Amino acid sequence: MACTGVGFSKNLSNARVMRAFVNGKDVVIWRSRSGKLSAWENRCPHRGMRLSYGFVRGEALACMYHGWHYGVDGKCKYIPAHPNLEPPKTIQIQRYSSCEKDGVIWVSEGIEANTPEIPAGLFPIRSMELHCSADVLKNTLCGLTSASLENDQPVFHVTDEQEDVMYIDIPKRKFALCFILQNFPHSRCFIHVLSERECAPRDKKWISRVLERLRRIAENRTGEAT
Amino acid sequence: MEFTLYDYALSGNCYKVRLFASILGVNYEKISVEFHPAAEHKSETMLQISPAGTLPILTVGEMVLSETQAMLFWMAKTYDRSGAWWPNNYDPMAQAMVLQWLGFSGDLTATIGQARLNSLFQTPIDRAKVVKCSVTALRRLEAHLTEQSFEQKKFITGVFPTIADLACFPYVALSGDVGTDPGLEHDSYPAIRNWIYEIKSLPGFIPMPGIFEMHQLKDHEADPTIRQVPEG
Ligand SMILES: N[C@@H](CCC(=O)N[C@@H](CS)C(=O)NCC(=O)O)C(=O)O
Ligand code: FES
Repeated sequence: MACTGVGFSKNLSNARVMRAFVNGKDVVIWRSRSGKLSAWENRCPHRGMRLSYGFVRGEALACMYHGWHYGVDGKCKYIPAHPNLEPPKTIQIQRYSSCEKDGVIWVSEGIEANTPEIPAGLFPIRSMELHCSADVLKNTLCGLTSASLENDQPVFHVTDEQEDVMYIDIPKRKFALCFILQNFPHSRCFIHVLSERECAPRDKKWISRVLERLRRIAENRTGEAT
Repeated sequence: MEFTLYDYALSGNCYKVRLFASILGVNYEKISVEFHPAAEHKSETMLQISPAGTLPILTVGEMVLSETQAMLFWMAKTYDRSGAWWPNNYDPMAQAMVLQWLGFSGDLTATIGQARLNSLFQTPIDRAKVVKCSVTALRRLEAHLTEQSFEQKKFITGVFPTIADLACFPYVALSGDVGTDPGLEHDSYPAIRNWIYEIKSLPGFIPMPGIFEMHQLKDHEADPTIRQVPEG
């Protein structure tokens, strides 16, 4: 089953929760107090509340609605309204497989996960949402030439393109970047951008602003197309 | 009582003052004003107190403040013995940065705040435009907090929170409540999501309707494998 990059490890600290989309499915991703990562269907088996609104309590995720606790195995461990009841073993959340590699969190449906083929030793820069599909972004990137940008702007140069990963050079500044693409509902996407080399904060800031420029270009294209 | 706050529970702007007072541990008198549906803040009685006709209103004796940014500044200078919430006098640029983001907090009221009033009370607005401007404001903060994180700074102007963080917090935290319009929910903004966690972790943090606190652990809940001893 293909993996989806959903964000950077550094952006999900212990005892915190995030929400993401994997193949169009709503997923809650959370880290227990001790740091264990889990990815589940974002739906509480009790009344369907989004679990991404929940709170981490120790090694469990508590639903914000009625406080049912789920352990890292996805099984209900505790029901506050019935503190003495052993929750039935059948109450269980659908789990996704998740792993972390070089600072990126990957999630896939099913229990067996293949980690994607990206080179080792890249440095996370920024995760950014765009209001255009990953396809529009890809086409924009591939279509960018020096002529389509003003003189003083950096030229992007797509060096390799795969299903969900692209490699981009910015020759002027000698940056080689890796873009991990993630589709989001409502024709949106996320890009998780890594650099081939360790960057000073000043360089990261420059790259971050270039990404915003890229977003403006790609979103304008979406505007023109519709 | 140190001061009087004319307050409305659902107001993000009133919450700024309640939150800062709680963080500073200051006691104050709270007078509830019915913003909706009575529009009591526009009543002759209230306009006599504050001609601005908005909430919150903070009064100290004869002095009246009607801008939250001014209230937060006054509270910091009056009650904050740590000196951390408003940067010290020797650093004009640090102060200017706080002022800049206090100004930005006004943009948040004008965008997310307006969209939220529309969702709550059906106030007439050009919703599509206001939502678009709300997304622009959230993106600006997201980009800034991301850049801050490159230097290990978790807050808007540095490693410690200032009144600029408190002024920006409520409407950002409430944006997901405004609607499901793409770009209003926090899932779109990893840096904002982490900043919200940091603010909620501050000692003295209090919630408001729509902004939840991270639950306090009760002993028997700290570890779900520990159960209460059955009675009897
Ligand atoms: N500039 C004021 C604005 C406060 C504000 O917009 N308050 C809203 C309620 S949250 C209000 O009273 N609106 C009524 C109006 O503007 O007429 C501040 O920052 O305190
Ligand atoms: S919906 Fe989750 S505990 Fe009730």
